[in-house]
Amino acid sequence: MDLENNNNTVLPECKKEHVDNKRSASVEENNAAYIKRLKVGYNDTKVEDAHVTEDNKKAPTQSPKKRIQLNNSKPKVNKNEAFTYGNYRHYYGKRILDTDFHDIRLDMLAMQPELFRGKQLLDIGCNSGHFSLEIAKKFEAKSLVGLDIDRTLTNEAQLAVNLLKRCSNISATTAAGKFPYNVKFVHGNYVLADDVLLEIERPQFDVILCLSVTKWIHLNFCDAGLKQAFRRMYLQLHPGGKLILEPQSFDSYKRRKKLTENIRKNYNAIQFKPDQFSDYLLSQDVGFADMQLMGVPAHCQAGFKRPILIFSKV
Amino acid sequence: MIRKNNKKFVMHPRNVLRTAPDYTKLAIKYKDFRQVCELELNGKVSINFRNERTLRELTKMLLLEYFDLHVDFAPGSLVPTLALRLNYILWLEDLLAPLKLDAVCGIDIGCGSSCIYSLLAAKKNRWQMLALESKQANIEYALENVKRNDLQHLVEVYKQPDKQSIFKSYFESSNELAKEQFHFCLCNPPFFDSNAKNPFDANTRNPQRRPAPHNVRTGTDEELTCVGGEVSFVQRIVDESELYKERVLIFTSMLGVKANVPKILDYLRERQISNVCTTEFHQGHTTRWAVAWSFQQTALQIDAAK
Repeated sequence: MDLENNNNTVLPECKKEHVDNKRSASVEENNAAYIKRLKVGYNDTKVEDAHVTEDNKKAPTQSPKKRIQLNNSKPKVNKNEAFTYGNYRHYYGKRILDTDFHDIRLDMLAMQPELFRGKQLLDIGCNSGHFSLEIAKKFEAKSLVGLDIDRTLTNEAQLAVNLLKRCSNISATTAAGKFPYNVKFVHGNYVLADDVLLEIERPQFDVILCLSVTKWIHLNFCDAGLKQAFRRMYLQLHPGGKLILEPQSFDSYKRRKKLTENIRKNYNAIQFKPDQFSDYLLSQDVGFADMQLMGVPAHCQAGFKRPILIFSKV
Repeated sequence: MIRKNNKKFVMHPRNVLRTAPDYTKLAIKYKDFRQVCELELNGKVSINFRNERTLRELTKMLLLEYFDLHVDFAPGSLVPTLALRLNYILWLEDLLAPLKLDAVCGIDIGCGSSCIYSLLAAKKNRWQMLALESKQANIEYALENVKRNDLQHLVEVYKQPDKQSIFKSYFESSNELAKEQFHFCLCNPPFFDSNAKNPFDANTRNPQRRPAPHNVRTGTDEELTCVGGEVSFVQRIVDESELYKERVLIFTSMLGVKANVPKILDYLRERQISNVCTTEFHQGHTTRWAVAWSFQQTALQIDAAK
């Protein structure tokens, strides 16, 4: 398909830059440049590069500040350390590769619009909120709450909502249930400090979306944390509610196991594998009544081709 | 419109509740308390202060957590707030500190079903307390509370035969075991006047600027109101204190309404009682006042008062 070919041509370019960064980082002189890139983000490196390399060509001894930077060179792994929760910056830029910035999962969800219309939604791990906003807008949800463990991302998302509110000409009071007034972003960890707190959890949502998040919960909070999150999802659903789950496969965990010492330890301790998720969710420990496969979005990148499952609460 | 928590309006420096407790951790630890909490999306626990059962479980949990006191309240009776009670006890500690006493004896006027002041004073400071109470139901609960915490040797509960006498009945009793000397007395009087048209209405000039309290009112009418309100009640304490000048070193009482403080001070001045001091208790959005007076010059209160 032509569309897919278009996507493919974009991708290798980005990837190459990524690799270039890694190679140059191993060279001593370019460390300062490398650090600058970390701070700025790889999209902007082309502009910054010129300045940085020029500075570097001057003798490093000139400015004590530069010398300190050189000595404080961060190791390669550190670049990923910022994203231990999958809380990537520019995540949706990477994920949405279509020419019109269209997340293909939206089409898959659009096959069952009645799931969302007039419903109270929760999006766990909403990142910068792009996808959540799309869903709230397209399917006319009654309300949508987006939760993310990274405060910077939820701030970003809330800013986006506030901007939309300012741009829309409706006043807050008349459009209480309409987009964008029905969207809110909250910062926090979905996994609770202790299982006993589940005792006081109450139903508050009709649909819970948990898309591409299970890997991160699993790696950071182990089997126990993920199981608790599943139980919490069930408890937070109204009767007749649905959980829309897009779990990552276990093969994809391997790539991330080196992120931090803690994650490596957790990875090695995993016994509850993704292929056991459905059984657990349908068991008495959680209590979902049935499961349906919504589909597998035809994403160009094999890594993002994950099945989307719907679990129903009776 | 909520007034910002000004630096001036903080609790006593030694008050253990000066920094807000971590309710999430406490909800994990205490099952009964957990049941009255609400769980928020970000995993933190929040408390709805507008519910009587919540307030009761909250005070019970705080007493258990910070003082290892197991206290039960008669249903419908006043649920004490721990921060205020602690502020009062700490102020008394400050008043008594310069006297460098080994053993302290005090009177709790109207201890209620919780007997909270006596229990706190006995548990925290090992003070000997005499708890006076007129209502039988409250006395039964108070005795239970004292027994449950093994403080019978420090707290004596005495039944007042009538509501009019404060010390009279105890001091005039022919009981040989009745104590002679007390170092202080404390009182949390019924704030409101049962004769007034709307006893619980705040006498505010600007209702818009003064927000409603964010917790629900607890307690029976008997505990909250009396004829003439707290002014009349404290005036009675003053009258009786003149009869028993040598038996109590420092007389104190709390006042719930700021406007009543000058009234009591005037009353004391009329009787030529000069050794007087006042203080304020700050807890979050609530402020209460207290007055202390003494007939002995040894009780120098002016320095100790905050």
